[in-house]
Amino acid sequence: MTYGDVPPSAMLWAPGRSNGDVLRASLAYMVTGLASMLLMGLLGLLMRLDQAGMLIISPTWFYRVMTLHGSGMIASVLLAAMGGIAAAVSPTTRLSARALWIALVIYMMGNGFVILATLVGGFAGGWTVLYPLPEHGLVWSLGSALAIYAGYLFVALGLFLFCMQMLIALARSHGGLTKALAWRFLFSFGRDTRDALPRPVELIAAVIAIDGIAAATAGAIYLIPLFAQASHLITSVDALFAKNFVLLFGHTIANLSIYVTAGLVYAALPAYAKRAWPLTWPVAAAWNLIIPLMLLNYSHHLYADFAQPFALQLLGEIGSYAVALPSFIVTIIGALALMYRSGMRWSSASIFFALGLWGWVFGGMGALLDATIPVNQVMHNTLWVVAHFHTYFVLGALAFAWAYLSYMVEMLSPVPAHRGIDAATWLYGVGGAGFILMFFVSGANSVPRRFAVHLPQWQIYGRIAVPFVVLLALSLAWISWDLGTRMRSAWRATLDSSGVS
Amino acid sequence: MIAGDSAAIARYGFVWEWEWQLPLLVALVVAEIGYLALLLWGARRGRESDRSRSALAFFTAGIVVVALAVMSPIGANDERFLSMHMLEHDLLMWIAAPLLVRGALPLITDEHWLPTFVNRWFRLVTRPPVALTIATVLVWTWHAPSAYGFALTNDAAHAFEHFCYIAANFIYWWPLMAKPSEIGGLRSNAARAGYLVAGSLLFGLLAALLAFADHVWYPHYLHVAGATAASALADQRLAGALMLYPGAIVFVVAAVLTISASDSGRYRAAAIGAE
Repeated sequence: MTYGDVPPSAMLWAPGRSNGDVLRASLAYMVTGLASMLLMGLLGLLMRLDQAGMLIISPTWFYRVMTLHGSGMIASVLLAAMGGIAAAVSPTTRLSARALWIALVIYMMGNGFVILATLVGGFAGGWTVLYPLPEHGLVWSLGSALAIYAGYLFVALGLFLFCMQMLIALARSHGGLTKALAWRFLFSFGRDTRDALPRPVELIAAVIAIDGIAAATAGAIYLIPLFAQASHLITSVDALFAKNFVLLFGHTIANLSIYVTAGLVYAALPAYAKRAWPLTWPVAAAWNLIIPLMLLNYSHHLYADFAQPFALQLLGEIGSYAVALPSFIVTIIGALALMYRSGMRWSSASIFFALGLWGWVFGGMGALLDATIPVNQVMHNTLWVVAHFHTYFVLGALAFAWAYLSYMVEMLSPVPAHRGIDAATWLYGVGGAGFILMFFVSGANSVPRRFAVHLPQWQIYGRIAVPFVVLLALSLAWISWDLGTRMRSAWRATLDSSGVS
Repeated sequence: MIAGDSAAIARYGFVWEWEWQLPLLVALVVAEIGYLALLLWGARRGRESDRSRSALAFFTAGIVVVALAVMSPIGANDERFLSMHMLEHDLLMWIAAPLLVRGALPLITDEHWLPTFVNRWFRLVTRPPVALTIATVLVWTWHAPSAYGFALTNDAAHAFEHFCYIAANFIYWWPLMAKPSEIGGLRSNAARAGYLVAGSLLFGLLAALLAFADHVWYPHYLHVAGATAASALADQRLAGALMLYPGAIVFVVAAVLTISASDSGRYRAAAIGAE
């Protein structure tokens, strides 16, 4: 196996040593994450059929399914993204395969708790588990609320372990965390290049590891008093404190999955554009800015909470707007510049990357509108919000994750992709766009979100969306089959102890 | 052991007493002596003494945990409280069984002294999918209300139930604890991770069904003197929680202890073995 004309910034194998152990763990993360995503997507189809009036689910079950779909989808995408970023940094950073596998087990046990809490325990309080609702569920017990908390705690622990070892490994390989974050280069405005600069994907991995640790810590801070209350050690928890911390945890995790997958664009797109994508000052500045900005913007979910301090509301709005600058301007324009007149090699992976860039832009625009306070007052409880985060996920983060898995399989497996797989990837884009467009149209027509039963006049949007969801499902089945048939040889390739350089 | 007329005898409320069971004590002592004899015989045939000493310590610890689980106040209250009964099972399945596996490893992986049919049988039952299936079927079957109710009314059945839990989990933990080159040993980290997650979900599902049920599964606990429907249900929920949460911690600890830094070598060894 050779790289051919793949630039070094897109390499997968560690020159001179084996990173096969890490690549195997990465494949396991990606396959598990994307397979879980497919199952969660089927639950989504179930809900859309219900909203379209084509299948009747009881409201109790609708909210259980909604809770599992939301929490499961975020956990799945993040898991796939974690796998991708681990593979992407592994050629130049010695990650611990053992820590990766242990984190995977802990993370999946967390997912198991969430499944049990919703499907067996009847928990239906939504993936945001906004306090005090979980404590006072009329159709679920305190035990099932505790089970979902335990699930989140395990997910947070898995993420924490992953991020800690990523951060330690990056700091070791670059001689310190500030060097992994390219601070000397950054604060000298690109003039001081004495330190060996990290690859963009390494810097991004360091950034998301820091935010991941912060998010996991916020989750623990949220959960500990709730467990204490359930054990009658304390009588109550301040609701505003709880809401801030749960959103700092949950919103940051949702954001992380998007930003981690954006890192994968830096790692693999050069292979298709056949151009290197080295670290530049704008890239270093943009991604270092993400560290604080990602932790600030959660507050836009609390605009409707009058008790929230005004300063936090303001920070939420500023953070939401500011976070768009680095991601959109630097990553998207950088990616487009990389592709422009490059003689781009089109394959399933590169089509997914292109779709992901498109989805990220449109999802981001929807998010910016929603983050504007006067708009938020009107739109936040409509399907507009659902539209923007589905755009982010289906046509952004997920597209990037599928792209990177396709790239890995393409690099590792000698078996070529089946004919027609490019068409399947485009169909994914068409299915995704049609499905999401109906959410946007519904939102613009003030159709509320989180309603189990839709009025007859709202059902038309769901009915138009359903065929697009089916198209999305069929295209993913086709892509999964193609990748599945080549996965065994890709897995075997990771056993090559010498690696390929 | 309270049997037959347990409902009439049992009193609601935790009782701090030990329940000495002579047959169990004898069985455990015989097992320990038998194990020691096999170990000494193996040592005379050249087995490493360091490994044997640590194995003896683990096996003895496993025997002690079995004794504590069944005869301490935890076991003594198992017919008054389902939660104590489940705690007893936790100790047998998740503490005693892995310790016994760790102790038995040098004996059973030294295949030469085992009769051929035992060797073949052990190879079959410790294949990971078979081991997982056996463990799941045994544990789930004994939690069926009719089987569980029968065990509460019959001392021999109750003892056999506990034996099944130990045996089922002995088989479950074996593939994780055996080395890749040993009988049944899982060869890759991927297999270990998948096996652990599958096991935790299958045991967790049973625990969740118990914890989240809206009615009492085992009528016996409704008839304990002083118990009410509400107290029995609360006790059942506690029982489910005692399986669910400590179980999860056990599986995390197992992941930490059994997942290795690199498995490339294992794959190559397996490939060479296959050739």
